[in-house]
Amino acid sequence: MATEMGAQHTGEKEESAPQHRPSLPPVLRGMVWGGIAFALLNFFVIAIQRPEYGALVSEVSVSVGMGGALIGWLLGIGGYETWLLPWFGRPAAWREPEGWQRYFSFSTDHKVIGIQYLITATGTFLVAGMVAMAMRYNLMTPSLNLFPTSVAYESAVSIHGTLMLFAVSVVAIVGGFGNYFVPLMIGAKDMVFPRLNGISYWLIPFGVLTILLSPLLGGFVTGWTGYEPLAARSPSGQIFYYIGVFTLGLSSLLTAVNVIATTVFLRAPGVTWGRLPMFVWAMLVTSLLNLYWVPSIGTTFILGLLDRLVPTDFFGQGGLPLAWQSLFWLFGHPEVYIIMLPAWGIWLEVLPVFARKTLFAQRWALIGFIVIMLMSNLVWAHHMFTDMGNAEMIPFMLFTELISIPTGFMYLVALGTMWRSRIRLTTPMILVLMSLFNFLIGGLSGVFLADGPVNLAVHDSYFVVAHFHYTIIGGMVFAWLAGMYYWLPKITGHAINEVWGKINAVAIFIGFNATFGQMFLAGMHGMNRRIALYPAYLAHQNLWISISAFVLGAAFASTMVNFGIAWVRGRQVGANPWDAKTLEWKTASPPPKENFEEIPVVTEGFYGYGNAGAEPEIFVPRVAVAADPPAPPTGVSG
Amino acid sequence: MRHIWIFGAIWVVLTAIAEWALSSYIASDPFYSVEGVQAHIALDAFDFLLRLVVPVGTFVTVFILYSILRFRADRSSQQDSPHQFRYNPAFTWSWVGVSIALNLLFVIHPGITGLQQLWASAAHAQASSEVDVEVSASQWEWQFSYPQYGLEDVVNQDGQDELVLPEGKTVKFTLESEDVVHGFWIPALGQKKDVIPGMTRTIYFTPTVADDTSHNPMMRVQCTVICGAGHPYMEADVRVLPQAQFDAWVQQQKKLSASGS
Amino acid sequence: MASARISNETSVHAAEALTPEQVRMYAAGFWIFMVSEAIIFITLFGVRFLLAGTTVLPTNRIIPIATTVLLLASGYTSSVSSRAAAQGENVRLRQYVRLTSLLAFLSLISVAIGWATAGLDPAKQYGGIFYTIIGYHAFHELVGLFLFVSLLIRTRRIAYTPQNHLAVQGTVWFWEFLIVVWILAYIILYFI
Ligand code: HEM
Ligand SMILES: [Cu+2]
Ligand SMILES: [Cu+2]
Repeated sequence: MATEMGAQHTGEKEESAPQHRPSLPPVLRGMVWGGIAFALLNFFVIAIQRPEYGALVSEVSVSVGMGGALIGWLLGIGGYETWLLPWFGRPAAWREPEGWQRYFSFSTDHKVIGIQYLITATGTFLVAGMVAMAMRYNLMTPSLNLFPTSVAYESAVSIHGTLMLFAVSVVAIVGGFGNYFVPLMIGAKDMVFPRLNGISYWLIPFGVLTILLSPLLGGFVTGWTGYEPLAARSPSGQIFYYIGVFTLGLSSLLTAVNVIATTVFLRAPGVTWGRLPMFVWAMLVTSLLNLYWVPSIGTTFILGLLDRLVPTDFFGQGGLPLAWQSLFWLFGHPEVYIIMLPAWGIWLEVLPVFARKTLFAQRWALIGFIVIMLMSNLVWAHHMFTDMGNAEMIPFMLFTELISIPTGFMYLVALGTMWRSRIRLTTPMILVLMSLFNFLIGGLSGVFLADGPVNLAVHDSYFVVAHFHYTIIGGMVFAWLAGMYYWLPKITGHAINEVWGKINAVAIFIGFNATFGQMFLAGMHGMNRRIALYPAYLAHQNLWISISAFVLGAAFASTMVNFGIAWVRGRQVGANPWDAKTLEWKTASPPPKENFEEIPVVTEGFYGYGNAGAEPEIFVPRVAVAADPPAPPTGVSG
Repeated sequence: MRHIWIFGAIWVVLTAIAEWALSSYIASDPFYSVEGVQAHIALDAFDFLLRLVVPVGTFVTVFILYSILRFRADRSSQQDSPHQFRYNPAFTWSWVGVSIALNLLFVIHPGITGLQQLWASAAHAQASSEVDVEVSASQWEWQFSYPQYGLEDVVNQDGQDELVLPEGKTVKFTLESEDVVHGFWIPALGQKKDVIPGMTRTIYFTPTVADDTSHNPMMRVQCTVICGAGHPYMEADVRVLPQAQFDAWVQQQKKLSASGS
Repeated sequence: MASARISNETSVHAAEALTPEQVRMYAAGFWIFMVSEAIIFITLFGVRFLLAGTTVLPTNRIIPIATTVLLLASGYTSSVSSRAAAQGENVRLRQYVRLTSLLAFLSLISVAIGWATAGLDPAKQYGGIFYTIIGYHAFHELVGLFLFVSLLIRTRRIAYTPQNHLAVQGTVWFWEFLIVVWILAYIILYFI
C-alpha cells in the first residue's frame, strides 16, 4: 500500500524505458506461475508433513499451496511488472495490450476493470444459475434423481449460494458499475489507486474458481453460512470455501478503499457533497460497510480454517459453536445491505431520468442510506431466533422492525418521484419498477420473519429461501439488469434491442414470481431448506416450482443473448441516448481513455428537470461543503 | 388533487377486495395443518400481520400501476414533467409517521404479545410438568426418551424412532446434540429450536389434535439445520394419542423394555 | 531519459514530485486501508474475550519483554528514517532503514522463540487464540520487514524528496501501527 504511492510515480517517470510484453499471454502466464507455486509449496509441505499412506496432498498443503497459487497468479497476470519490479525501484515495464486483449490482462483503466467485473459477474451468475437449474431438476421429484448423493446436492446448494452472494451480488454492481461509473459520475479521470484496482479485479476469478473447484476435494455441505461445528466435519472442499470467500472479500475490500478515496478526493469542481449523485452516495456507503465488515468476516474465516488445519478448537465442541454464528451474522446482515444499497442507487438514478422529474425528497434517501449503515450491525441475531431464549429476541425484533423504516424511505423517494411525472416506459424503467415491486414483497415477508413466534415457525424453511431470493434477485438482480440496459449503451456505444428487452423483462418477472412466490407456500407447508429429497406430499408443488424456475432460467439466458447481440452489432448511439443529466452522459459513448476531453465544471445538481431549478444545497451541513478542498465555490467556467 | 382522489379510491377498493379474498383464504387454512397451541399463536400472528401488510403492499403496487397508466408520456411529447416538486411535507411526514407507528405496533403486537403467549404456554407446563421428553440429536437420528416413565430411545414396531405425545397436554422437550447443530421442528406444531452441542435447551409443545404422520405429513419431526449427508433423512414419525391410548402405549413400552433388557 | 538502463545501479533519480493535494489523497487512502487492518485485530481481540474470558495461562514471560523492547527501539529508528526522508537526507534514511530492518528481524526471531517456548495447547481456547493473535501479528511483521527491505533496495535507485517521501512514510506508519497492536496484544494476552 504505502509503496504504491511513491513507486507508482517513479514507475511512470520512466515511460521510455524498454517495455516488453511477457512471452506468454498474461492469463496463461498467471496460471502457469500459480500452478508452479502451488505445486512447489504443496510438495514442500507434504515433504515436511509426511502424511501416512503416501498421500500427495493434505488440507494443510493445499491451503498453503493456494496461498502461493494466488501470489503466482497475481504476479503472472501482470503484477510482476506493475507491482514487484517498481517495488524494488525498477521501472514498471508493463505495456497494456490493445484491443480485446486488454480485458484478459492486468489493467489500470477503471473502464476496462469495470467491464472485466461485469463480464465475470455475468459469467458467474450463469454458472451458479446452471447449478440452481440442476438443483431444481433434482427437486422435481421427492427422491434423488440427478445428484448421486445427498452430499453432492448439498455441495451444489453451497456452491450456488456462495458464488451468488460473494461473487455476483456484491461484485456485479459495486465492482462493475461502481468502477466504471463512480469516476465518470464525479468527473474524474480514474480511481485514486488504479494499480490496486487492477489487482483487486484479478482476485475475483481466482476466488470463483476456488469455490467451483471445491468438488475436487469432496465439496462442502454447510451452505454459504459455513456453520460450525459441521464445517469442521465437512468434506475437505470446505477449505476452498474459506479460501475462496476470503479472496473475494479481499477484492471487495480493495475496491472499497478505492471508491472511498476517489469519492472524497477526485470530485470535479462543483461536484459538492450536496450534488453527489445518489448512485455515488450508495457506492460510498456500501464501501464504508465493506471496509468495516469484510476484514471482520475474513478474520472469522481464518479462524474457521485454523479449526480445520491446526486443529484449534474455536468453534467446536470445546469452543462456542454459537460464536461462529454470531460472528458470521454480524457480517452477514450488513452484507445484505452491501447488496441492496447499490441497487437502490440504481433505482434513484434511473427513476428521475425516465420519469422526467426531479428526485423527490432526495434528502430522505440519503438519511435512509446512513441510518441503515449505522443500524445494520444491530440486527444480526434475527438470523438466530431459534438459538435464543424468548426474552433475548425482543431487542432484535425491535431493531429489525426499526431498520425497515429507513428502508421504506427508498419507496418514499421513488413513489414521490413518479407522482405526476411523465414516465417513459423503457426497459430500464420497467426493470426498476419490477424491482420496486419484488423488493416490496421481499421486505414485507421480512416483517413476518422479524416476528418472534412466526419466525420460529418458518425459519430455515423455504419461506426464508423465498424471502431472500425476493430481496436478492427481485431487488438486486432486477436493478442490476436495469443498470445493464441503462448503461450498456454508454459502455459499448451500442443500443440494446428494446422490444426484446421488454419481452425478456416480462418473462423474467413472471418466471421469478412464479418460482419464488410458490416457495413461500412450500415453506409454510413444512419444506425445510437445503434438502435433496422431501416428503412425497410436497411433490406437486415442487414440480411447479421447478417448471417456473426453468422458465426463469431461460429468460435470464435470453436476456444475456440480447446483451451479447447489442454489444456486437447494436445500433450506434450518441453520448446521451436517454437524455439524462449525470456527468457520465456528458462524454462520448464509449468514453475516451481519459473519460472527458476536459475536466467538467459543475454548477448545479443532477436532478433538475423541467422547471425544477437548480438543486438546493441542503442536504449536508455546510461545514462539509466548506471543508471540501477540490471544489472552489466559484469554479464556474465556460 | 383529482389524481389523489382517484388513486385513493382505487387503493381503498383494491385493499378491501384483497382483504376479503384473504379472509376466505385464511379461513380455509391453506398455510399450515396446525394442530397445536404454539402453532396457533404463530398462525394468529401471521394472519394479523398479513392483514396489516396488505394495505401497504397494495398502496405501493397501486401507486406504481397508477403512475404507469396515468403519468405515461405520450409518444409525441418528450418534454419533462411540468409538475416539478422536491418535497411535500404532508406526504413525507405521514409516510414517516405511519411507518414508525406500524413497525412499533408490530413489535408490540403480535411480537411481544406473541412471545408472551408462548411463555404462558410454557409456564403452565413448568408448573404442572405433565410430560417430559428428552430429545437426543445426532448425525442423523432423533432419539426420544421419557424419563418420567423410565423409557429410553423408544421405537415403533419397525424399530424406527418415534415420538408419541398425549393429546391436549403441554410437553416439555429437553434438547441435546451429540455432534453438530441440528434443528428440532414439528411443522404441524409450528415451532422449532436449534439443538446446539454442549448446550441443553428446552421447547414446549401442546398438541391439540390426535393425529399422526401418515395422516398429516406435517406432523413429523424434521431437522432444519443442515447437518451433513443425512440431513434430509433426519426425520421421525410423530403420533399424538388421546390420553387413554397414550397411557396404554406407555405401559406397553415399559413391558417391552423390561423384556428386552 | 531513454538512456536510463534498468540495470545501471548508479542511476539514482528523484521520486516524482507530488502536489500537497496528492500527498493528502494518497495518505488518506493509506489510512482508509489501515482501518480494515485495525478491524482484523479488533475482531481477534474480541474473539479472545468471547472464547477465553479473561483467563491467562502461564507462559514464558521473559521473551515478550525482549520483543517489546526490540519493537519499541525499531519504532524509534523507523521514525528517524521517516524524518530523514522528509528532509531528503537519503544517506541517513538508508542507515536508519537498515537499522530498523535489523531490529525488526530480531524482534521476529524473539517472537519465534516465544512462540516455540510458550508451551500452550492450541486445541484449547486460550492456547488457540494466543497462537492465532501472535501468529497474525508475526505475519504482519514479516510483511513490514519485507516493506523495509524493499525500501532499502529501492533507495539505491530512488532518492526521496521533501515533496515525495510517501513510500517511506507509509512503511513507517504501517510499522508503528504494528507496534501499537503488539503492545495491546501483549497486555491482552499476558496480563488481562
Ligand atoms: C436463477 C434462478 C435461481 C434459482 C432457481 C434458485 C434456486 C435456489 C434453490 C433451489 C436454493 C436452495 C434452497 C435451499 O434448499 O436452501 C437456492 C439457494 C440459494 N440461492 Fe438461489 N436460485 C436462483 C438464483 C439465485 C441468485 C441470483 C442468488 C443471489 C444473487 C441466489 C442466492 C441463493 C443463496 C444465497 C442460497 C442459499 C444457499 C445456502 O443455503 O447456503 N440464488 N437457490
Ligand atoms: Cu439479516
Ligand atoms: Cu439436519
